[in-house]
Amino acid sequence: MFDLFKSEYQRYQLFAWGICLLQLVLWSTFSKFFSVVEPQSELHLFIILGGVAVGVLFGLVSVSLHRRKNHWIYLMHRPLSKGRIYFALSLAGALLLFIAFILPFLVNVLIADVTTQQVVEARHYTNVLHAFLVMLCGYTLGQFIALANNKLAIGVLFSLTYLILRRQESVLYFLLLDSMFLLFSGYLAYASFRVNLAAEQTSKRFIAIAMLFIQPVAVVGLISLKAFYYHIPLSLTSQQYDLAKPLHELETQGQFDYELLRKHTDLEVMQWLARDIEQPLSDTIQRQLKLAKTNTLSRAHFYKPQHKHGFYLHTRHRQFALETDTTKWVFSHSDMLFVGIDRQTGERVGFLGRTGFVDQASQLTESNKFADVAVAIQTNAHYVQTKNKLYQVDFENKRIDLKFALTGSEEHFTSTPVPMFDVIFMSSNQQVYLFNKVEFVDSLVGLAPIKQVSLDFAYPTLPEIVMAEVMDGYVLMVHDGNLFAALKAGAKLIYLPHEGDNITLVSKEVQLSALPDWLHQQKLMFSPLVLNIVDNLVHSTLMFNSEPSRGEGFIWQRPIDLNFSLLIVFCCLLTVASIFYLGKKAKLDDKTHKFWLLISLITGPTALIAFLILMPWPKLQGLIKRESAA
Amino acid sequence: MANYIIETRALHKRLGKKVAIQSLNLKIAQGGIHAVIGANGAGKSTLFRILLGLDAPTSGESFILGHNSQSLEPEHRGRIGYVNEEHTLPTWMKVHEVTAMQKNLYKNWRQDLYDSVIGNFKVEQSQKVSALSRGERAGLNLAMALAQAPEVLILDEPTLGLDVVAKQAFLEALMFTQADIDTTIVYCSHQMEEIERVAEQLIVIENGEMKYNECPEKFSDMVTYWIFDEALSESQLSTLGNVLSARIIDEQTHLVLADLEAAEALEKLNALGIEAATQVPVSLDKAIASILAKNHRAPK
Repeated sequence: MFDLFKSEYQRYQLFAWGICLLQLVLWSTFSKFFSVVEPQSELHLFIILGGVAVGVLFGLVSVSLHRRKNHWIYLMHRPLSKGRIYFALSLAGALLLFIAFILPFLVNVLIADVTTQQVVEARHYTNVLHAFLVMLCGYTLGQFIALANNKLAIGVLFSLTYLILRRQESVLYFLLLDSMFLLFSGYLAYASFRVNLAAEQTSKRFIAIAMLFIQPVAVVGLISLKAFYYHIPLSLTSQQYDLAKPLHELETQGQFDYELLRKHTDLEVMQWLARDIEQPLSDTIQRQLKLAKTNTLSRAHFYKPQHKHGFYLHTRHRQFALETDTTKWVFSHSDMLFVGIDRQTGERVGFLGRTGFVDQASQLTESNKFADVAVAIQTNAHYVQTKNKLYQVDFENKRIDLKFALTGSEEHFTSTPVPMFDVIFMSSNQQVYLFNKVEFVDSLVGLAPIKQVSLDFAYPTLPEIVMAEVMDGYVLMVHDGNLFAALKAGAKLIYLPHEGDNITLVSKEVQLSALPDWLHQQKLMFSPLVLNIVDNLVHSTLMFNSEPSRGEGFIWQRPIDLNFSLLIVFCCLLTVASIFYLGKKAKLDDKTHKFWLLISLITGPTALIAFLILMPWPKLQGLIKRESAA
Repeated sequence: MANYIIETRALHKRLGKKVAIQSLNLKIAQGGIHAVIGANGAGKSTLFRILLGLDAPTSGESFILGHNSQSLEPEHRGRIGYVNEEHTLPTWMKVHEVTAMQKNLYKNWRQDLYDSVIGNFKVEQSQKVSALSRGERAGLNLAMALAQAPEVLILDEPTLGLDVVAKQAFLEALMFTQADIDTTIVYCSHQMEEIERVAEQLIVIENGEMKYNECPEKFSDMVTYWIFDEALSESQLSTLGNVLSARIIDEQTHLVLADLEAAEALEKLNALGIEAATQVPVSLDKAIASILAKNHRAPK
């Protein structure tokens, strides 16, 4: 086994070391401009994406070279078990990938750790490990595709988006996820590595795991088909919404679709909502809204509590780098405080904890540490925000003060402080707070909000919030696809007068989607059980949504009408019937056939796609062409 | 089953619409060199792939060294040598590294055999495999395959693309060594002169079916060549049985018959009124060529 490992290593070693050298040069050049230790989110994404691409490519190429007819006999026909052959090749592959792409990255982190006083912690090393594990996931999936009889198996690569697009979790979560993913993708490749590559896969474990990997692409593929049979025909027959019309003309039979709100300007939507305000206030608000200016809470101000030892990749939140000072303050997850580093000398010059500035490490105590991971907010005044506390920092006078603390149980911030007109806006998962702008900047004592609005329920993330300034106060518009409960979309107008209590002007529930239920909730139809669980847990990945996950509830928590339930059952039964027929045609053995039928009952139409990809059904898989007579 | 080193029972392999192997009942006894002959596409390589477990039959069974070829264990594979026409080897390695790898892999490695075979070729141990000529690579491959001391060695067109000198060296090395070891060799080739030199048993496969499994002498006796003055009609020819070819050259009929001993053939010709038929000796390669050419499509 070692000889085979050595042989495979020798085959690519020159390439690997060449790329390693090139990368070392590139990294050392980059390190002058970027932080290699804690790369910006874009650079980090580039590293991960690049790693995955290289992993997939290497897996594909290296196995395809062995897969050639006579080369496969040479490889497999030897007194070694297929497991040992596979591990010898894969270990060599992993080592080569490590040398070419991970070693230079690691060396740079090591150099920063050993030769400088930068904040380099275990999480930075695990970042390197994460990059390596994701690369190996790509490598094993590349192997799987090269060994698969149907090249449609390339669709499994879509599952990698789950690893690539998630960037805000803790290191431990990442490593656990990476390891699980690698275990499964490695198993797929290992199980596909057989002496007779054309033989059908009968292992239930293989079928079940392959199903998991094929599910996401199958669902997205099936959903995207609706463009052909729904959206394009509607557009061609001019039956799609005419967005040029005013909103109230788009309302049909007292119903309104949430998608339309998002396609019109904030002021248009506010004015449309204001039509439902009772008189005489309606006219006044509508008149004022026509002339009002709006301010929207942008995505850049969303705040998600940071995990301790998270990858923590947002530059803006990572450190204070003041123009007036040569010291940069970087948050240390191990010490739970900011470490001051002189930008010119690289020396550590002090610490900033929740009780104040400390010059020497020996003077630090537990009381200096922040309770949660803190982010730096660098504006005219400087703030430190944790999960539920906001501090103001005065670097000139070396002082830090607790400015505001959330009091609700389970309450945490969902936005950073945002200036809007004359107020500072902040939100938590339960409330919206408005602060006096002057007090917010000047006051170093405890701060009280001038206005406070309770949200309907604890949101996992921020709804869309728009504020308009009117004569005697502000009008706040809140809308969200889940405003009134999961999948219950709606919009609200709240009047916040300078004097007096808040008044909810309008509270309007709208239809979540313009699509009929069977189209809008297609995910349920395509995979009623498995996808529901996956969807609820990894919703944001499947929908390419960069926001934090917003689960829509499990199947039993969703309002589903009887007709739609019957359609789901019909789709499942149709899949079962199709697989029954195709299985007979492909002459599957009885046990495998029954297992496929069970799988199709659980996963619905996606099982059919997986079946077509995984089963050696000659007519579908073009085996006739491939197996040319010797 | 133990008496046969290779055995197939009603082996059938369909590749899409094409039948590659059809009800093949093949028995190869232990010892000697068995030549497998067939036109391109006759199913020889498919048969080898099935025997090595790299492909599955559509129906039927195949056994090698008494084990079902679909469930060969690594230990069984250690007793079966295989050399293909490409002489696939890790070209990025040096000769001594490849040899060392093989040596570690096969516990019955015979260094003496390796040295004696490789001695026939100009192969430097420090050379890279990629720098070897095709003939040298074939020599290295053969040396390693024989040094493994396999119980059965399958050679699939090993001399394809070799020049005369390399081919000569390869065959000599094979024959001299085979005499020295107890390996059954299954040799597949299109080169009739090679077959004539090495084969102790001939297996002719045509369109996936086994047509003959005989020793060369007996096989030659099965094919007879006759020249006579009379012309034969289609119906007369059909009474003669397996006619491989019938041509008129210079007003004389040249007839090649198969599956008939000379006396039997002459008796049948006499019965058709041909009294002065002259038998011309048929070489083994001509006999084989006649058999293979019979079903070969001629250009229209």
